[in-house]
Amino acid sequence: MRRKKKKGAAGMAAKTITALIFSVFFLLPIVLTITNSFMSTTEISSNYGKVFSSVSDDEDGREYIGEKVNLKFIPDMVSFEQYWSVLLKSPEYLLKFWNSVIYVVPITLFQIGIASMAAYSFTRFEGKIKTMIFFLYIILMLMPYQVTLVPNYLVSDWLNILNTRWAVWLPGIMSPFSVYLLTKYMKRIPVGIIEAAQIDGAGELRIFWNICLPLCKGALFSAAMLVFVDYWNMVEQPLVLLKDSELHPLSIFLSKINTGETGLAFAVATIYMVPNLLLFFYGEDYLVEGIASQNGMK
Amino acid sequence: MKRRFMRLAALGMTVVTACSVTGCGKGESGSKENSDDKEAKSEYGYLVDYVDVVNSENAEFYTLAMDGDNIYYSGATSNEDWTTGEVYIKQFNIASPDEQKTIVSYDFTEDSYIYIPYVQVKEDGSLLFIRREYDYSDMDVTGEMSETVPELEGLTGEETITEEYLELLGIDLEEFGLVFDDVKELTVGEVVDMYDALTSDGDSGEEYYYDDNGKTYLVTVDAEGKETSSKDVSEAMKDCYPYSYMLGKDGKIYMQTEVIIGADMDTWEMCMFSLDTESGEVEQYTVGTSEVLGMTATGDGQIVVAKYDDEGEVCIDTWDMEKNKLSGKNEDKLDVMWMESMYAGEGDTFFYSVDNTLYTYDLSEQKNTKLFKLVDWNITADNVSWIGGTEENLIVLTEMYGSSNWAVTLNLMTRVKAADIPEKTEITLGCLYAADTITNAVVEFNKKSQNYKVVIKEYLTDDVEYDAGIAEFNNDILSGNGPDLIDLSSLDISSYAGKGLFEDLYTYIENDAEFSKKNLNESVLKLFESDGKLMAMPSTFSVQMLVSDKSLYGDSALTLDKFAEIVKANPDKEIVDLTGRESMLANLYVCNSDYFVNMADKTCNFTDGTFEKLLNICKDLPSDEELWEQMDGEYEESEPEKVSKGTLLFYNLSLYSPEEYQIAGLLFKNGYNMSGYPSVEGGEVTANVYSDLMAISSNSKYKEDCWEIVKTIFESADDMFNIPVDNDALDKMLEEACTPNMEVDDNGNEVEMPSVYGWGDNFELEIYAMTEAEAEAMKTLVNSVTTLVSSTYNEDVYNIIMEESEAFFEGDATASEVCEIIQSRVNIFINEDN
Amino acid sequence: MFLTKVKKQSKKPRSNRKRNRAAASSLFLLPSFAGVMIFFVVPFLVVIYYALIDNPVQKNFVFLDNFIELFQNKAFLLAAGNTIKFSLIAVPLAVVLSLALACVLEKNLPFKSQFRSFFLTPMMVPVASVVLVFQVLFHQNGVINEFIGVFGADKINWFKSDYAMVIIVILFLWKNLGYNMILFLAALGAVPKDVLEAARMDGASEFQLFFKMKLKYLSPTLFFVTIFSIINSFKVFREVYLLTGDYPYESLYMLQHFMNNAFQSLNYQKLSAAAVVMSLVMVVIIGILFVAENHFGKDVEG
Repeated sequence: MRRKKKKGAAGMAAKTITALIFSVFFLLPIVLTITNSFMSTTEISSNYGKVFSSVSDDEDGREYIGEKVNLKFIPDMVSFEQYWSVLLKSPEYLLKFWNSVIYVVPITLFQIGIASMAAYSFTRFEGKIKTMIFFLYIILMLMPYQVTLVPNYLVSDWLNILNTRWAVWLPGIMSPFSVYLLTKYMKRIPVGIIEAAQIDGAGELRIFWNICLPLCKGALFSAAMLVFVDYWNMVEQPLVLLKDSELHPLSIFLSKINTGETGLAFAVATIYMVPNLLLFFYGEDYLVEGIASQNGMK
Repeated sequence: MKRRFMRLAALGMTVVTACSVTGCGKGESGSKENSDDKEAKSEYGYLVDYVDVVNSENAEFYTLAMDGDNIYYSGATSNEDWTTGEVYIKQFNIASPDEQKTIVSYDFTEDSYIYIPYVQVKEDGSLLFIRREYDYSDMDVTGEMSETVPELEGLTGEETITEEYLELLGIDLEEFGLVFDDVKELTVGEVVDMYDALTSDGDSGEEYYYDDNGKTYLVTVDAEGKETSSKDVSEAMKDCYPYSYMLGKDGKIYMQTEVIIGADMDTWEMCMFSLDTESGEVEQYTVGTSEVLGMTATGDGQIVVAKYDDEGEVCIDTWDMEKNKLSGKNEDKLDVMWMESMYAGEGDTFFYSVDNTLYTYDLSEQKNTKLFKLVDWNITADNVSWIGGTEENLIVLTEMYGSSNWAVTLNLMTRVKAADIPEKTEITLGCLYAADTITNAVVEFNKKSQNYKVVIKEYLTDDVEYDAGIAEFNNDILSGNGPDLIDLSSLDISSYAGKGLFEDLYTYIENDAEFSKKNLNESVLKLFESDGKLMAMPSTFSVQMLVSDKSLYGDSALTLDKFAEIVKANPDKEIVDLTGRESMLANLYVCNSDYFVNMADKTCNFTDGTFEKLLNICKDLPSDEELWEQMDGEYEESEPEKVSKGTLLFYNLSLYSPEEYQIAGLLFKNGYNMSGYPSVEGGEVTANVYSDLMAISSNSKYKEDCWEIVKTIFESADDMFNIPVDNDALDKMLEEACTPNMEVDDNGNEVEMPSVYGWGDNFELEIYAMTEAEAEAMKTLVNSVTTLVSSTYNEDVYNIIMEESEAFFEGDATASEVCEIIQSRVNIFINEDN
Repeated sequence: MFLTKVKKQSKKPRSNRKRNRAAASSLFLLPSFAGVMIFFVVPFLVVIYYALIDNPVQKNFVFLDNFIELFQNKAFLLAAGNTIKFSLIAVPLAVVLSLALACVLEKNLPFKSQFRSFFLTPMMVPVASVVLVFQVLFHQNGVINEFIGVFGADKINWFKSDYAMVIIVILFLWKNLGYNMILFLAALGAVPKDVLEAARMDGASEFQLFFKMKLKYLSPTLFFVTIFSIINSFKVFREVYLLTGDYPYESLYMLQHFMNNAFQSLNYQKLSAAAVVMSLVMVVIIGILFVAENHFGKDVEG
């Protein structure tokens, strides 16, 4: 018994260390991005000038570029220069950030709304046709964007919404992405509860609104988070569907960061991930619950 | 947990409401504006009458005033060399523009010049105008001062300046706020040059205006032209050379002008002058900001100032006539890039134009309205020089500077219901930017055509990024909504080849009885062939050559090996002007792109050592950045100057006129070699096409009509700075170049006058008529082009190469490693298109 | 007789009600279904049409020519090969590592929930945000090269050599391990405790417990995670694109590069053919999942 316990303690220590190592692996890029965002532009270019060939020139002319690439955790001097520039000097970043919000928030809410209705339908009634439709949804959900690239473009062109926000909104809202997750979750609602309501004479709408949705709050939130992150990350859709760069979200700017003002990149990157991180810390439990419910395909 | 969720949900809802309000609002208002736009377009149109006010080399136009239907304008006509002529004010009614009446006229002679910059119609129908006169009879014309130096006995111009010399030369340094110490180290010649530079503003002709000798009169005449009063305001207007004249609501004439301040003669200040027409008094005020784009008065006489605000955007301010400064009250931002030609409209409004698009701005409502593009109603213009009337009856005065004449046209535009405009079938012409040749040809076609209207669609406008514009262009072509006619210049034509997107223009040429007779430059057309079909046709081109001394590589061809040798043997010399290692690599690659990337065979070839050669040639050159830094702020010797001193090996010749060809011979007196950028085989002749490379879409419904337009564009090509593809036109061009410019000299002999080409301050070449042999050689050269600089290389491949070679230049990789990587990446690109 | 009559009477209205309910619930599906049809399904049919014509301008039917060309296209084969290669490396790693992490976290580790948060964070962070850090780490003169230099190794040109795959695998793992781990944690939690306890009493080692007992219960999840990871590995394009652009080094050239570039260079028919092929592969994989899940699901239940 004693021996076993000792072995258990050693194992526990090994496991803790493993967990620690992996934590570093997972957190390092995030932490580095954040700490580096507090470096001055000069420090950034002297550290990373070699990596980003197009470090911005200041008015004073060329900056010093270090021969080596210096990865630094802690800035020599904490500076808010990057944030200052991003937030106050160049309003375009804020504008793009705002664009991102304008796209992602309505997409998330409406997609969840429409998807929860669809999920309810899939839960409540099963038949051959619905099973097939559900299979179709799963396939569509799993398709890489490149497959739907041309369809998306064609439809936007037909509907005459190319180069307007609708071109991003509508396919986003109609995307089957969250239907699957919500259906999985709703199927776990005990049939008894619904049947009881049914016997009480509740209509489908009331069952959906008063019973199903409240019971799925966690899943709704978790799905919303996943949708949010997915669309917050989008690069391809706006690039193809919006030619006017004023309509572009921040993700596009970040994807071109190497050709832009690299001195500010870390601050922009940090600002860009803040909403996601906040959302995550707020709703981690729901998220875990949502993902966990996804086990299995049907 | 539950409460937290509710809070979050509430938060989410608020954000969403806010977003959807602003977001949707924006989306909707955006689309609404569009529909408004369309409605306005579909509801109204303009019928235009054109009245030529000036259409000759020997006429000038100054200003215009309007009184109801009566137009008064001032201008001048002269004899051929502008020595004598008359300045006048003429009047006509817009209903009968041909019946013009001269109100007043003044003769001028060789020694004088008269100018009427401002005309105003008073309420009683009499005219008030400003007349300025300059008398040169008792002065040396400053432009000829330099010739006084040799005349001074015993002076060569090389002597160090002394105060006595200054006196002899009649140069008064104090005039420019200088003292003798400032110039004591200069030579006589340099001082004279400096004096010339200071007394002229570089633009010959205008320098006369800045003379103290000028007289200015404020004149009133009655409707018949009888002078009722004339006031001499010369003294008060001495420093005032206005950009614009405005009639203020207080009856004063306001003038915007720049005044020299400070001793260094370099500092200018924006000023406002006001001229009281009753008393003749002039007041001068400082505007207080230099970022003024223009000024005008509204119809009501409010003075409006367009300027850049702190953020560099165009905004509107007004002039406070009581405090005599900018009011700073009404800083409304306009969504335009800049502003040209501002003129009074009705009441509180004024008109302005930006890039040949007309706008009107209502001051009281702060409303900016875009009216239309001039070209939409078949008006072409290099410059809009007056706008007036109302939106219903708009009068737009436009200027065109042709190669041989200057045309000022009054466009009388009447707004009508769209239904009253004869309907025409639209043909779209797609291009990145509409070159003037294209716009002009399109307008010409539209004016003539009964059934068709060509609409130009520009894919790159101010608010569209380059990539996005190209993407839209490509998408349009592929979705079948593409333009009927396409200008492919500055596009990667190889990526469109072999896709059946464009008509074979050879068949059109063959079937066209007239056009097939033309003697076209086949070597150029060959560059745009794909599978024996002519995808696109340019009307002009230029040839890009490297010229060097004959001794540099003798009779051998300029191959890469030879070039490498030359670069190696001349480490202390500049190879090609302002070409650092990156540019050199880019040039070498672009000119050899067919060797490295063969789109026909779907192969690429970066690893056979040739590209390594390229890299090694470039390696020891200074980087582009170093080069630019070096020349930053320093005086840079001109290219021909460096060639003549022997510090530069290759002269970069852009052959777009016979004169350029002659320059090569003049620079290298001991004989020269002319070759395109070095290639594997050597002996390339490289062509460049800048504009109007026309293709007809296979999808177009109006192919035959498109061909007509292509022909119009081809025939109206501007060959001023380009070589025509039509060899007959080239022959004409060469014939002109071979005709000597004869003049009678002081001794009464007819002698040939050379045209003088100058670079910077020190280097000049005199070019006489071309010899027949030279003309023949040039014709042979331009008819034997082998490669195309622009558009043949693919942007993606180019970017890969430039990105990877950086590692080699920085010493992070060996040449062969870099070649391997480039091969790997470009290979993918090529295979994709298999 | 009487009884049957009653039954019949009561059955009829009930089935009617059921049908009404089915119709009502179908109404719930309508908005979503209409949207999916308009924005995804119908256009996809157009894509199939595009895959069968020569080009969108002339629109001649060429049937399977585009597919034949596609399978002869070296770039497509390279892209497909790379994508499969990447999946073969990244997917097993993703499955094994996330399972290992789940096992580690399943234990009553101190700060267990904190660790879980740490592992899950990358999932939420936009890749674009951290790409900069990866560029700094793996640059020619970057930290990793410096580090291996200490051990006397030569510099590796990470992005421009066959090692490039390593970076993408790491990025993929970084992004996806957390998600998979949660799935495994849920499955581990569902393993009946009493069965395990009984085996432990019988003197089974942890090792045996895991391979003989737990794995059996985990197998549906294992399968699910594998398929999910395969599908996600097909989507690694965005990461590669952010790191290296349109034309990366050969070893990083993925299917989506091929498709993206085909879109840019106007090759709709090639893109369409590739999209159809890719969809078919996806359908097959998902089909296998469906069938296999039925099989495994029964296995565990039984």
